[in-house]
Amino acid sequence: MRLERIDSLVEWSLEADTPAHSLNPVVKWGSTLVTVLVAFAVRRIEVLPALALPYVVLAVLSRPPREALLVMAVPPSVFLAVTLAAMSPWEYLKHGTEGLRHVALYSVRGFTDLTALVVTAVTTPINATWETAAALAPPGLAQAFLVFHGSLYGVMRAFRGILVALTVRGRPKPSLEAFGAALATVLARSVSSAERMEAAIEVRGGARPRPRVSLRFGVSDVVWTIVVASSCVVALTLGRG
Amino acid sequence: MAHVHLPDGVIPLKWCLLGFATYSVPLALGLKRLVERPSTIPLVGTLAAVSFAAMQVPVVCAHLMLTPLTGIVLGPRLSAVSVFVVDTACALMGHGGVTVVGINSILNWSEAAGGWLLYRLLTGAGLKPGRAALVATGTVLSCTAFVPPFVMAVALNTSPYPFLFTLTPFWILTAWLEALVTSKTVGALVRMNVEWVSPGS
Repeated sequence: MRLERIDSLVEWSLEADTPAHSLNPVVKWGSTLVTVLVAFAVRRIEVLPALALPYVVLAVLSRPPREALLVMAVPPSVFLAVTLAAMSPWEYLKHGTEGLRHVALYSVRGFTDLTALVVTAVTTPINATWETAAALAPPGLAQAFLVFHGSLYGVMRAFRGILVALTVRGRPKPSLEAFGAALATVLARSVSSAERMEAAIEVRGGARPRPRVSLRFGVSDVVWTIVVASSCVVALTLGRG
Repeated sequence: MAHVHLPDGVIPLKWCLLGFATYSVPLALGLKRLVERPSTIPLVGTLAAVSFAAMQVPVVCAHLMLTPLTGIVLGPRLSAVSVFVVDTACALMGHGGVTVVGINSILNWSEAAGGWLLYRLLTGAGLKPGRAALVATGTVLSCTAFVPPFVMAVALNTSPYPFLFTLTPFWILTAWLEALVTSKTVGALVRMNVEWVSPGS
């Protein structure tokens, strides 16, 4: 089930020691955002994959679990494919082959950006991502991010427990009453532990929590920035026609 | 639980920026309330975590999101923050693009706020909390299931009908299942004497 696969992804992302994990999360997410924004300006379909190339190489070097990549990539890919397939007949009737070209452009651009995002998400330790988000967020939102991140794994384990408890002889037994009651219990207990977590956050830094992740930048960050910037420049130069 | 699951690069940037600009208002009001009442931070963060975890359980071709439950428990202002946290988490996992977070947050917050409003009206009219949650959740989510096709149609300059016929039926089906789950959860919380869902809270 998806909950188990996300657990194994979390485990891998926290324990792996790959070239991608040595990159600063601010540099990684910042470069992904720049890639996504540059993709909007590229209009030639054949040039777009140049933007995804650095991320594909990073994924090959890091070798994340295939299941983790599939869990994250398949649902949005399916939604994108369904959306564009639904759009295509209408676009063809309205604009002819130019309409289909637009659909193809959205498709390639969507998959390019999804590749960049999924590779970044899978190869960045999850706690680093959330601690960085908290460090950059305004007061209140930063604490909400940290409480969310801290509560998430316990809540997901509790959910799995509920679904296992509702399974009888290997088949899920539909009992909304039991599911609702179990969900209410998970919520109430999670809030209690979140209150203790919030107290710990206050002790660490109050309204502006100091991130536990080091924000030092190394040679690998410079190299990655140059690689991504180069791919963006190439894409913009060749792709704005 | 109507959610634009499109990755980045499909919805034009101007619509994404408009989404962020529009959502900045409820988000700012929510953050102001959060800073005024820091004791609600655990509830906001936990509801976001529960909502995110619920999304990982597939239902037919869609998933639960528990946005009306978030609205019923937190109210319209704080739910803006919780919904933003969930949508940001989804975007960071590739579930809907980073640039689409603003649009998704507007859609999901409207479910939370609408759920809260209808729940308060129904409990004020004397309906039991569980039944009020059922009607509020089902009604709000069924109505909002029609919105994303029009949002995508306007943004992509195409017709909404293909999306209405392919996506909306699944969303409506999941809406009533979520309504049942929310109803049972609210009923259980009331029996547990949790004050978050009391009609007067």
